[in-house]
Amino acid sequence: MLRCVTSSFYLKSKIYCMKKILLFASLFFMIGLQSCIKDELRRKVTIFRPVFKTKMEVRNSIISDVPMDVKNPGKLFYKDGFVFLNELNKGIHIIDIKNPSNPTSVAFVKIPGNVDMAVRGNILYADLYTDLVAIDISNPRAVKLTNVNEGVFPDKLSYAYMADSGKIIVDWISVDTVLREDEFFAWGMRKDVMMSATSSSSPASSGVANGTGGSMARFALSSDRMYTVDSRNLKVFNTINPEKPVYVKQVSAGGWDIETIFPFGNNLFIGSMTGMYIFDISTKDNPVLQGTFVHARVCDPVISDGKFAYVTLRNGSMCSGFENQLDVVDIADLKKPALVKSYKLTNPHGLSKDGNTLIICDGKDGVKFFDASKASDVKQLGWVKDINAFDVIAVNNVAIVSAVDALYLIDYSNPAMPVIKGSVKIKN
Amino acid sequence: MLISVMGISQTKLKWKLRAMPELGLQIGSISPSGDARLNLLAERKSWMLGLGGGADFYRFESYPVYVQSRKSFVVGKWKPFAYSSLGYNIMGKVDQFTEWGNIWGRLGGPTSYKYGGGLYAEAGAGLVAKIKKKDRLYFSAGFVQKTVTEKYDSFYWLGFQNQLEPVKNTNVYTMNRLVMRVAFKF
Repeated sequence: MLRCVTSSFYLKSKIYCMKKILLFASLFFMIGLQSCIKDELRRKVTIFRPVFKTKMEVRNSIISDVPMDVKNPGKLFYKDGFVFLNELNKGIHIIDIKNPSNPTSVAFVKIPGNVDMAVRGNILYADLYTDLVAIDISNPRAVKLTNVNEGVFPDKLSYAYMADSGKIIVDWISVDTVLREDEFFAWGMRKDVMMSATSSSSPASSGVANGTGGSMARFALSSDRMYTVDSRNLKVFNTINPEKPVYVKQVSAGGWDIETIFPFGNNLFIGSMTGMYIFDISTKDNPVLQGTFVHARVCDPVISDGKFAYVTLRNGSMCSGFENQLDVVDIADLKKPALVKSYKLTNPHGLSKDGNTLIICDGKDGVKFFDASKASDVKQLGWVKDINAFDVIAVNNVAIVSAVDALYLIDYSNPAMPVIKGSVKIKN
Repeated sequence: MLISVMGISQTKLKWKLRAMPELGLQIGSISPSGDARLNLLAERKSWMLGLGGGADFYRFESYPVYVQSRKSFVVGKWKPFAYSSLGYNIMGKVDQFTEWGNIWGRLGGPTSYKYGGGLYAEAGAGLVAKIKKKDRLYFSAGFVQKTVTEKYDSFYWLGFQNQLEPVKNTNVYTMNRLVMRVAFKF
């Protein structure tokens, strides 16, 4: 081939060489075209890069910061006129709702990796990734870290995430980038993680009052103990000295897909995707499984009034199942909970009960108020439409409702005529 | 008015209006497909310039509109030509597209996708065959590209519980193909 290009030849040889060159040129052209006719996909995507701080830096930054906009709200907790609203994995908003017509953000406490919380007396308990932190909130405008229980929630390092042992992710920076692919593949994930809550009023102890959590909470206070659940374990913390909670032990929570915990009297009601587990906590440090109520695989916040348990079942991509209903369960015999009746709903999430009034967040169908004086005949009284609600705590005739677009305060003095008194908007 | 303008263009400027329907066979990453186009061209000497539009069925239906230029040559007995088109690809049936597009996103739920058009470009060369006095057949081979954009919202999982950050995504699909055409000029 090289000789064809560089040497001089007779005519016959030149024709031979021309053929050869043409053959190679054709091959080269075909191979070149083959690579040109591939379909391509350029994906303009956003990736997130973690921002790290040392543990000491993070702990020193747990202070009352200036209030910030609510962007990605999680669970709710109520105590003494203040709502504690989780900003997913970033911290907790403290909102003064003493005047429900004018709720006011007081401060934001930065707690990276925070999802759950509870308040006992003047102490706020919160998870900081795998740690449990205790924060003095006597003055919500100047909170102070009082204690850290390290590594008590190892489950939070599951999935794809592993933290650097010496540093903590405190934020994520979004970076736009372009990826190029030869063939067409794309992916997406849907947000279907809704938080929910209901009143989990728990008895006070040692003169220290416990706050009110929700039906989707994973932290529950009862007397001078705090109980937490992860996907399969129930943990006990001694909170006799609220400022310095002490980890006691863990027991199996009954199943492997545990979602929520709700305390009432000497019992814990644990919601899982396949059923409700009832634990006896007469012996505070030794929870004992009493009974189980099994249902289809769905998401199921649970509350109780001591006589009955109220379980909302909903379907959805994260929840599986095909049911959207309220199950009222007779728990007179804790070892044999029995279904009283099921009531059809649209897409029920969190629920709360105040006296005979049962309040249910029914997803896009709004907030519904029921007369639950007869378990076998629960009747709808009032309805606040046009909000996509997923979380509620009922306190003193005010329903604190977490919805997609705002935190609403709804006066239900007359459950047949609930009225929105005030709101804190969520800014996405 | 239009007739008079055409008359001026044909007499004073010596541009002659031609219609040129054509069919194409496309070969790309997937099985062969086809298209049909109609070009309206003004011809003067060895040049033809004009507008065109058609239906392209590769992967999904779309409707390109473009400007086109053609230049003919004379090489002995042969009359080769070169051509190029440049324009905009208008999206057609979206449902068809999503079936092979963001299937994983669709499995996750009712994510809404918005589709838009994109660049349409073609270049190629071929030979002209004379049929009658004015009628010609054009045989050509070329490279054609069409582009569509797909926009949708999704969530970025940060690797631990409940942490899904909302993000906006844009996918730009570019389909590159070889095309063989036969066109009839009258």
